[in-house]
Amino acid sequence: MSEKKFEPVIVGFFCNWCTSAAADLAGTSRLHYPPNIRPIRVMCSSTVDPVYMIRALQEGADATILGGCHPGDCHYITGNYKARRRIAIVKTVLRSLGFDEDRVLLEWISGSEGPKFARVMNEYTEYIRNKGPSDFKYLDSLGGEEIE
Amino acid sequence: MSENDMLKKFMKDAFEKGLIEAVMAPAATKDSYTYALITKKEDVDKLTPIAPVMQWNGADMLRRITRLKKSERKLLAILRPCESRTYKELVKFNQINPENIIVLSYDCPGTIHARTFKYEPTTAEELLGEIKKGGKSNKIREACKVCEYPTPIPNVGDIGLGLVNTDEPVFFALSEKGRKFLADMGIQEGTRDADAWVEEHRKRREEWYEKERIRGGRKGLEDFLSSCLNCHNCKNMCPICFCKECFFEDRTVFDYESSKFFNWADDKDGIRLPTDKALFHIGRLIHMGTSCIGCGLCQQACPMDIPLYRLFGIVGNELQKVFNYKPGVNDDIPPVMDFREDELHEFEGLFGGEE
Amino acid sequence: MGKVLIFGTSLASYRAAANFARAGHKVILLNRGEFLWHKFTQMQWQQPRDILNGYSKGILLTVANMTGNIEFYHNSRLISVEGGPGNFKVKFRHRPQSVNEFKCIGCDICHEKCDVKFIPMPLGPGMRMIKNAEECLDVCPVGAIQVPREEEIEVTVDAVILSPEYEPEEVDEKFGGGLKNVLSFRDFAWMFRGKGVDYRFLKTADGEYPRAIGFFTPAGFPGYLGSYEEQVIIFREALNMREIDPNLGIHIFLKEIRLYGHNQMVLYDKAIEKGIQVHLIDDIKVEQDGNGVKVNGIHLDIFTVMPGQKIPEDWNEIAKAAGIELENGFAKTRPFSLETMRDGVFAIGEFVKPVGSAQAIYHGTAIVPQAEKYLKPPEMPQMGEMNFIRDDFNPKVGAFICECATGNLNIDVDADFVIKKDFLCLHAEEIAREIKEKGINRVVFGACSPALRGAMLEMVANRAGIPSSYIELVQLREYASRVGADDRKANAMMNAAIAKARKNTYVDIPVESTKKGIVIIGGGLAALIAADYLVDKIPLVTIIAEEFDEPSNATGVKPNVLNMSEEELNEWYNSLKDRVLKRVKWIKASVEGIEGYIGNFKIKAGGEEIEAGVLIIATGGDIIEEGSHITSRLDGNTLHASLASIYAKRKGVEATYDLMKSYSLLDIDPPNAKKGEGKPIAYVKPREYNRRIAEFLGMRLDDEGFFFFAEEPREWVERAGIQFTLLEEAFGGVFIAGLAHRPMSIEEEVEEAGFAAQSATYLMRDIVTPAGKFVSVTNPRRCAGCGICVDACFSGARYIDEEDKIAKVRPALCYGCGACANVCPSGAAVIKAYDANGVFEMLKEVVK
Repeated sequence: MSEKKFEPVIVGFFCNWCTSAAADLAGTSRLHYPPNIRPIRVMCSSTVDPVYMIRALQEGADATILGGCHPGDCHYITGNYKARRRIAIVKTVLRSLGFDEDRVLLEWISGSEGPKFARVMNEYTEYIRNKGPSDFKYLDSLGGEEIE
Repeated sequence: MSENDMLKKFMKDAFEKGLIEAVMAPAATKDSYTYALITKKEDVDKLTPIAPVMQWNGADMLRRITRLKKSERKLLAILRPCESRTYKELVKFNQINPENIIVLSYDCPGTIHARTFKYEPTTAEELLGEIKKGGKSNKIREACKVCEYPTPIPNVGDIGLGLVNTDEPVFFALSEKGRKFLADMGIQEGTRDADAWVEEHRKRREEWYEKERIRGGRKGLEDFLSSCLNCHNCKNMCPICFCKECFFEDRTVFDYESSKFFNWADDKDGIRLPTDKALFHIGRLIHMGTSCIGCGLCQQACPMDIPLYRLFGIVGNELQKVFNYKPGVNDDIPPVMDFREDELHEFEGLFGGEE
Repeated sequence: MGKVLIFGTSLASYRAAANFARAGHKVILLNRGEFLWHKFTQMQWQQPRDILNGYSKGILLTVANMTGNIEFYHNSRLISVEGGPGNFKVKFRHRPQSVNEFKCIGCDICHEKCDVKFIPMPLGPGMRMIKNAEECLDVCPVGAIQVPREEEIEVTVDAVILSPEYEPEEVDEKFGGGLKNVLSFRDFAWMFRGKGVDYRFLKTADGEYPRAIGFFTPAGFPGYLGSYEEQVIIFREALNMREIDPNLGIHIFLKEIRLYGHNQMVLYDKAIEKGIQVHLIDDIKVEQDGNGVKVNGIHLDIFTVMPGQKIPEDWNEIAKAAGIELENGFAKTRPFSLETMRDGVFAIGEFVKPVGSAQAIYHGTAIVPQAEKYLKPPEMPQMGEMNFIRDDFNPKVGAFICECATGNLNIDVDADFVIKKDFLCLHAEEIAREIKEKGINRVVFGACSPALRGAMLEMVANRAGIPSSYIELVQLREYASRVGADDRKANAMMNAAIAKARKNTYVDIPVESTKKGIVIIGGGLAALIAADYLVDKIPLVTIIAEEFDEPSNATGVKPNVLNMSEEELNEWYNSLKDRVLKRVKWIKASVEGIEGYIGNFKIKAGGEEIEAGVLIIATGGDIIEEGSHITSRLDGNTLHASLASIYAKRKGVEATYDLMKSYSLLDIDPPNAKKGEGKPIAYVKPREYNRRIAEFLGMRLDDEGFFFFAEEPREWVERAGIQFTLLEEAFGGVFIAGLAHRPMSIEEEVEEAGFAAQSATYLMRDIVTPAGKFVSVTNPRRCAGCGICVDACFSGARYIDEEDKIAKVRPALCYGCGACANVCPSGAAVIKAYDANGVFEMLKEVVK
């Protein structure tokens, strides 16, 4: 493949009550961020099963973001605390196996933080772009660079 | 009198005194040892309370007995330390009802890989001989060599039996229930010094963490699992995997239309079949890694001799460190059932942990 | 169906409008600003960053859409109120907005062709004002642009409710107004607006990072009033600043501490603990000091002033137009009532006295039963039967693409039918026809945010027989075309939704039947007040109490009750008690056990077992009178000053105080007290009985034994935000009122009991699970009964069935967050809308 510049795909799971609203606001305000972000609306950050994030990485995403409400602001009172535990588990498993844990990101973005949403998306996309493609997507395949 | 004979006498006395109505302990089979449940004093002689092989996790057997309803009879269960920790962990997950159960655990000499045993039988006495001198047999399984808690610990189970560094076995209580039981049996509690012995295990464990860790991300994991049959036997033998039906065996999720296979093959420059092999192991780590007891049965169960305990034990240990949780050792709530408002900030925000 | 006119758009009137509309009455809401939000209550001015403002608006808009009972008039001015209850003729002038925000779909076509001022806002299209509206009428595809010509209107209504907002002021010169680096709090909070509270954004006027900052609110200084709200916001912001920088010097200047209820004192303690310096000052001197200022001798790089409440001058005109009297600048009301001296004209919110947001919501709810005596009987909208298609196995996906949302994107997706329209929201009938003619049974909309037309499109599909669980919405506009997406992203999003739609299964949305009765536990004053509101509306109201409390001397802060004699008080109390006891069922006993949950409680008392849908707990408390000190608190964090200050005032003693003296008194007339120590003049001792009830219900008590209930206003409205409209459901069918909750005046008890009573009436209907299609279910074949999901559920909707040893769901309590499905290792707990099956399909497509 002769791509000039690597363009990652980043799957975002965004809480309905905060980060999705922030994404809405970013849209209403026409704040551009890279098209690499693929948003999925979920009811709460705690809706997202860690297996979904792993699966996203395996299906070809170079990174995933989980966007939830700031601690103390969860609409289901404690969902974001549970989500943080799940993220801690996913990241630890990835790190322990020698994968890049930074490809899973947990961010707290409230509904009024449209500009923050755009900023985080920009910064993270750039970060992942510089890191290069994730090799997790080639797990159990014949592709990727390292396997002859 | 051998330790096994002594334990059998202990059971018979307990039967006679009416302290128990049933016993669950290993019994020999042609090539191995099984767990057996007996309800009569006469049947005690059919048991081998300390067996050289652990084919199943005893706590898993207790789960089967008490999952739906508490034990109907007063049951004495002879469990290895890892099994009694499993027992404690499964109580937290509502899988075992501890009522009416007395757990006796002992300084564990380790067990031999069940397949090795089949072809090169040995006896418990041989293994016990080593620990009486404060040593350890070389024949035992990898998980046993690096066992973190090879001795009974207080409040996990009820009665402990000390065998390390002593010619005369000593009983000691692990719980109030156990203390009362020993008093009713008329047995004096004793002590033995096992600290150095345990310390050696832990030192080996630390070295093992560093030496056997799976490194290198995708390549490391693929190579490690390269001979995996996807038989899920590791899950079947895992006592913590108590689910009735594993999520990763859900055909509605993991059966795909043919187009999906071809698309994958297109996108990933060829795929390995069957699919989702690594996902199964990673998924299992995510689901139950925080509660991995370290019995090592996954490794024993693997027909392809993949040293799976290196995967589950080492990653599980990392997970448990994050939550400062030791499964089956105390009454802490398992991490998956709990949360704190102020914790784990290193996992939040951009590029977590690096700042 | 009654008809009320509400003037002003404060938090109280937002709630009132929503509540009247839900209770089945017509509402005419006169907004004084250019758009909803333009003039808003203190929250908006004081903490502009707070998303709660958006939720309050969201609640109102949802109810307006749901019931069709609310009419809005913007830029309104009240001219006159004539006639009487049941037949008020209200004249007002109003100028329509140049863009009708209800009609606006945010397509932005006008931006290119007209002179538009645009203010982006969360949860909606944002605000637009068009200068040349006359020339632009044809530009708007939905006809939202209108000529802003002022006109006079007369309406006939049954009751009039006044709730004008107070206006914020600039920072006064004596507090440093005009000096460099002296900011109003609003401007300070704005520094972080939308960007996140981060040290990178904290800057002085010169763009330097400050070393020391200060906060101040003038409440208590001559001419400045204040509720607790300002101080809560200041303390929170100070703690935020501490969080982002542990080395920053942070100072708070206050005349006295004014916090509220339970647990707000924790903010003060936490501030002290974190090294924030709290200065209680009598005078303030602000002077220029280099690039910053010196406040009472302390150098600060940024000094932030929260304006506090000051009575606006135009309240006089409003009072004149409405024909009511003012008293100390506020509306004069009758004892323990929100009704002014004029029959049928009510005042709520900050027009009555300085209120915080919790009280504003109490007012906005308690007003309904108070005004209803003048209203015609309510009419509830009848919902038609819906017949939904049910076919899990032969999906036929129709992708409806809105060209307004796609912009220049080229959408090419893999659905059974792809239907493109210029504006989907303008073609409801066509969508329904396409669905029927083509036999579509899965619908994917590529459109805009659910806060705009997304939710409406779902209803269009519902009406065409597609259940919500077969519908997916892709926000092509906000998530793609507006933010610089390419075709690849847009198509991946669409294809993902289509793939998921194919796998969607039918979700039966459960409805639990409710016991149509209310049990009031305890004999506190609030019990009688709540019963008085409820007894004619609810088939069965039961009070379970050994005896009833006598009224306390903490009457209230309004002059009419503060100066009320003991005889008048007793007369009021006795007539209330007689009136109630004649009509309710009174079980003279204590509660022996409570089982069940919202909609289905079983209460054992006095040898009887009573069933009820809702519980109101009003156990009251014992009032202990001792010395002459206005004690802010005893051992715990509960504030007692609220009660003590009124005692001090009524007794007219020379009192002492520690942290606060005039809490909740109109500051015009604070009690006579100086700093000092001593025995408390009065405090409330909560009943031991509380512990038992808390145990039955699994509720929390504070250190002293008061119930926690909506501890902080913020958390309060936050809970309301959970489901936008279902404020009352956020409490699980258990309401706490009066002294069981915290020390308070009778005036406040009336408000709290009114809130409990009105909220309870909404719950006297069968409960559709608040989770909707996201309701949690258990696959019994898989569930091992481990109970992880039970621990994960925040609302207690999951439990382990003792018989089957598997986890089960109480749908009335399930809010659909999905935490159970997330933690379940075997996939037995499922939120069908997010089951692995569909999500895996989706993930495959979304990464393309």
